[in-house]
Amino acid sequence: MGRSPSPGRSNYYKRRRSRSRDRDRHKVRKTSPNPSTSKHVEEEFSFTSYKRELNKIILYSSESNTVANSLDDFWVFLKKYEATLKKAGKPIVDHGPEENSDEPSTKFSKFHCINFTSSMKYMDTVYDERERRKLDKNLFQAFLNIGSIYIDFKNKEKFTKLRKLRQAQKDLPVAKYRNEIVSAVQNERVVVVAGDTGCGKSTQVPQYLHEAGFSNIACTQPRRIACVSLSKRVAYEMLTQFESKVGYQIRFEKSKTADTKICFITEGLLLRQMSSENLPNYDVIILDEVHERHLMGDFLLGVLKCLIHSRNDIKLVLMSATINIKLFEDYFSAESAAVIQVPGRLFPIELSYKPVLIDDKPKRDDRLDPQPYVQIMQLIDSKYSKDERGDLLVFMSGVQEITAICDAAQQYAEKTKNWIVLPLHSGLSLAEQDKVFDYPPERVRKCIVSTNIAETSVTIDGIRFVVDSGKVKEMSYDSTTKMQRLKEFWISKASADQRKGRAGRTGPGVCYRIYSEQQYSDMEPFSTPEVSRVPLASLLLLMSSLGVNDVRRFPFLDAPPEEAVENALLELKQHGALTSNEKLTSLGRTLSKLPVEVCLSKALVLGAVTLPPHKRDSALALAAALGIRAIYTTRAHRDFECENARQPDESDHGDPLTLLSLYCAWLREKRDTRGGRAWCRRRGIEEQRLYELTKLAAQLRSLLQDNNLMETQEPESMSSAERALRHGQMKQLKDMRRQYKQNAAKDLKNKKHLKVDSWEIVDDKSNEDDEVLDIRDIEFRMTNDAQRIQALIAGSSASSGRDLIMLKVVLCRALYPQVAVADNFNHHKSTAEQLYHTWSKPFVFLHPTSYFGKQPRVLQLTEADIQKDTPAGYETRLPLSSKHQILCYLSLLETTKPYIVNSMRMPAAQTLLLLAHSIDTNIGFTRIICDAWLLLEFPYPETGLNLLLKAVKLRQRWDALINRRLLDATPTKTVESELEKQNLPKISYEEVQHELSCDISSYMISDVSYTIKRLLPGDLKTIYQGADESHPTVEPNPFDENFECKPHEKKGGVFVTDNVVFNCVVDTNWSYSSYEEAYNIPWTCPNCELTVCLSPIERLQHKHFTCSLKEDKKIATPQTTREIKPNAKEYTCDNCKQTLYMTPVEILKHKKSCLKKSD
Amino acid sequence: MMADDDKKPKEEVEQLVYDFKCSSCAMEEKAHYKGKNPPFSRNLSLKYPSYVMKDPFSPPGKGEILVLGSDCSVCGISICINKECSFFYLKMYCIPCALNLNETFPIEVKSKLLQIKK
Ligand SMILES: [Zn+2]
Ligand SMILES: [Zn+2]
Repeated sequence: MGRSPSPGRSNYYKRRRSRSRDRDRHKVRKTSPNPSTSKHVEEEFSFTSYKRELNKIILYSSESNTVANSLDDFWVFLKKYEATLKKAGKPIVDHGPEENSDEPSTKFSKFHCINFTSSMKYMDTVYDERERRKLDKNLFQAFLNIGSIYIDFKNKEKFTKLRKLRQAQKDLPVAKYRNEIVSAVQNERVVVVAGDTGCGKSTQVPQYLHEAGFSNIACTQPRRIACVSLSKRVAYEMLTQFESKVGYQIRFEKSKTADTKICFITEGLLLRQMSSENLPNYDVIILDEVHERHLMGDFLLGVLKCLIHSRNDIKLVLMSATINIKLFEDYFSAESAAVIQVPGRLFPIELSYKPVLIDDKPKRDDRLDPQPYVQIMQLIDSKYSKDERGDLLVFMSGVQEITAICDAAQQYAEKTKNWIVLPLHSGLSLAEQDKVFDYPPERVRKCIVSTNIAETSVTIDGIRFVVDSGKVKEMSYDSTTKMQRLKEFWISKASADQRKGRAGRTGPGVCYRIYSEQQYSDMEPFSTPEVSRVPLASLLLLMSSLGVNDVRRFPFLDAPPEEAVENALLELKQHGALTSNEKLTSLGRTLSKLPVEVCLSKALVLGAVTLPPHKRDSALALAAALGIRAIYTTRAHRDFECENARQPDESDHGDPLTLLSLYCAWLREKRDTRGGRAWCRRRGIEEQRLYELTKLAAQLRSLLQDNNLMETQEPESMSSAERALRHGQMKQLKDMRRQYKQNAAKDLKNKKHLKVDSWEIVDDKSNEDDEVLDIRDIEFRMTNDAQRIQALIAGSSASSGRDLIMLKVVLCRALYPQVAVADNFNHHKSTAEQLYHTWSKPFVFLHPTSYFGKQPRVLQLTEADIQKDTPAGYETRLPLSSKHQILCYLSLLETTKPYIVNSMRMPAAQTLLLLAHSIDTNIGFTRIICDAWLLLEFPYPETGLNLLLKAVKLRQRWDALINRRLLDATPTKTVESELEKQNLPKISYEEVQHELSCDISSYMISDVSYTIKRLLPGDLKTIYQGADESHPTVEPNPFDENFECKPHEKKGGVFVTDNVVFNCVVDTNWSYSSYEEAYNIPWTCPNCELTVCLSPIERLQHKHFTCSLKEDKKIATPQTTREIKPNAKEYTCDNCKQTLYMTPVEILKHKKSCLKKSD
Repeated sequence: MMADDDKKPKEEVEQLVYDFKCSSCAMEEKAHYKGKNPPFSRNLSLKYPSYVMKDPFSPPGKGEILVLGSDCSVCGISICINKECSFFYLKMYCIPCALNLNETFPIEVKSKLLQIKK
């Protein structure tokens, strides 16, 4: 290592010496363009020549600062700074003023104007052979001075940013009302803040209240995404973006910690917090967007209205758009709500009704005419210069209408080349939705064609023109048929005003209404609240679990239709969630804790109870798959390629199992390759939904675990090699996530630009799609390691055998009575005309995108399936077969026609006998009616009886298993429940479960021939015996020996179980003669070989109670020690005249033995 | 990340808050420190005692600070670093005080002040 001073170095020594000797020289040096006398070196001096050494010092410094944090940026600054100095003829190396002068120097130095002093420690760096010069301490000091200038510059930048932020806050319309709002909240119980979008209430009011001293503020939002974005924004404004003072809590995630003072939370989650005993100690609850009138929001209002009476310490703030303020004011009139109105910041909007000639006569074919919309585009082109910016937003009612307008607008755009047409609706992928926020090129306008999603949910900047079709497609719900209907309506005045307002957010705008002014004045003032048009079962269950005793008297803002409430209550009773007198059952309590529809919650609970532990993931995945929005993109069912790609993973059992199978295939793709995005795109699947599915399934799993219905998984121990591998993987994933976030931050700065192409719109990004980091994949892999994915695949797949049957039975039981039977004439009809009938709604179609909608033949009987040689005497026009199938479905949806959505096929008789709520039979068990709707006829002797008996016994065992599991899971241990547990059989739970599933699956495939017929109201009038006929009771009762038979009041016959009525169905000629025949031909017991003439029910009684082989087992227990059973009654024997307390079985045995004795 | 964890206990001790309000433009912020050597950025010091906050726009533990302003070295009122509110030359001055002291500053400073006066 050469130690000889480099030329540069010697220079500096020289200078330093001169400097310390002579102050005047110092001054001279400053004004001279070049500080050094040795010109040949110093001419091109730049600190960049020392970059390596300087960087080393900066980066090795123990504490970082602005320079170290943005080193690249600093060097850019330094170069510019040096260039400026050079231009001004000033020296680059400036040592600044005398170091040790205490006196305020009278000599000017620019460093005196800067408050900052950078004090990094000088480090003797290794002499750099190549550079041939060395950085010394003095030069470093001069360098630090530039650092100080940089830090000062950066400080000013940040300071300006802060000032701008504060100015923007101050400029918000709501800011003028700050004091008024704060003092109202301090002094009143309930405050209504009404202000339109853009007035700043959502971001500012929580901050005002926090600064006024409230320290635990909950702010609800109807949408999850709003919770996240608002919490980020408010944290930023409160300068706490790196702390957790402001947080959020949504379905799948939360950022809330103990430090959180303001929490943005979804309405649903806040409600669930109310149902748990420990409601967080909120001092203010803000309900935002109450005017949207969502189901949960309305209900929450009612709950909070009640809550503030018991909790004096909670303040309630309602925030709404300036729609229907009076409604809220009146609702809280007893609490004397204070109302504060904040005027919005709207620019003037020019309003134009029917701006172009519009043909009002409805078209014959009911098709939408896009021409008026294109004419408005022409109108804009002719009236407004292309240099004036401003985009167009068109409100249409639904996806079809949007597509029609987009197609026509696109044709126009191709001619004029100054429009970019973009659809916007919730069915689009998120990437497609995001395009509406991108910038169009100069002199080009965006034409966004949207559903009412852009009315309040999505705010797009730069809209100047609005076209309002005046229509909306809204879901309504018929609680009697349990069918949802998607129908087009005229919007409300409030909606029309909202749509218009979208034109005036960034500047003066124009609103074109396609309809007339008369139409506007005919509109309803407000839209129908959700509570009047959605299913209520989940809500009522939640209410019940929250302790609302009489849901009919709950103080709703708008009461839901009475019939809807009654039907929902009936549904809950049918599911066993409520008792007949509307008390919450333990099943109901469990169901209420699961954030999916009631029937899906039930599938989960049934799955957890019935399925073997290693297959419970299948129920979770299935419920989650049905609980999220459809996974298919709009392309999925139009594009032949997509259909083909999905085909190998379709299940001929129906849509739910196809979903499950696709999910498993996706998981395998995740396991075997990186990505999955391309896999999804090829199949027309929105990958985001599959991530949601995974998250929902995991959430449901943990809820089931919390409720002791599922075991917590012991993480399988990893070997050290595996652990090291996983560790490395996690590190890599974290790096990728960091990189992604950096890229995303950059992207945000340079927003994407749209291109106008003559054929289609290309977005810069879409081509490199696969190379871009996939953050969702990264996060998926962070939470699911290879082992977990493997376990999910193993647990979720159920493609054959007992696992598949059990999963189907579980789902079907949860969905029952949602089953449909085929119309008798389907085999003559085309695929699109296949008709089905449900209990509540006859004549429904298979949805064209559903599996059976495409493959209806799978459901039909083949010639080979039909029994040709019917038993003697039996005549029917219906096919006799053992292969009848019914459809079990998730929902009914009416669009153009009523459709069955998400259906699965099931063997008919087995399913009905196992799951029907009421089963009626004739005396010979050859004619069985399920749910007063479907008549099954079993012409072969004893086949109906045997199948029904099996079904009844299986159901009893299944119910016992469910009760046992729920009882075990209930944490509150009462004396009774403990006693009950002790009385339960000691056989292990798993053993019972295993035996049950073996028996259920063999029952489901039992081979029995029967006919199936849908009964019409006329049939029902004549098919029952009626109560006036006397019907002997069945004693003892072979269906349930502890069940006391009682007559049915209307149908006649007797109940032999809770849901089976024996001997109430009238006989036909063949059924009566087959009964007689059975009675007359001596029957031989297969066990004891006794031969007697017995009716079918007597045969059962013999087999169950009196058969000698059976009796041998029971005789061991002496009668005297036997406790009195609940169905025991006083009995006086005609023979021995003894009065005894006995059950029917015992009575029968006694009679028998008594008679024997007397013989 | 590590630095962040290490710092936490110290920060809790120093959780003093200064209410800073500029008497010229009414800017109001909470400062975490007042003085010349902000503890959360140790290789930076200030020539004149100032109100300092941890930079709200950067992740913690990076030594980034934001200097908001100081008390005027003459009259003692608080002023922010905004050009219209204060003037810095070795010390912090509110604009009125800086103008009053105009004569005592070097010529380069005087010309700067003159610009502000306009
Ligand atoms: Zn100021
Ligand atoms: Zn002053």
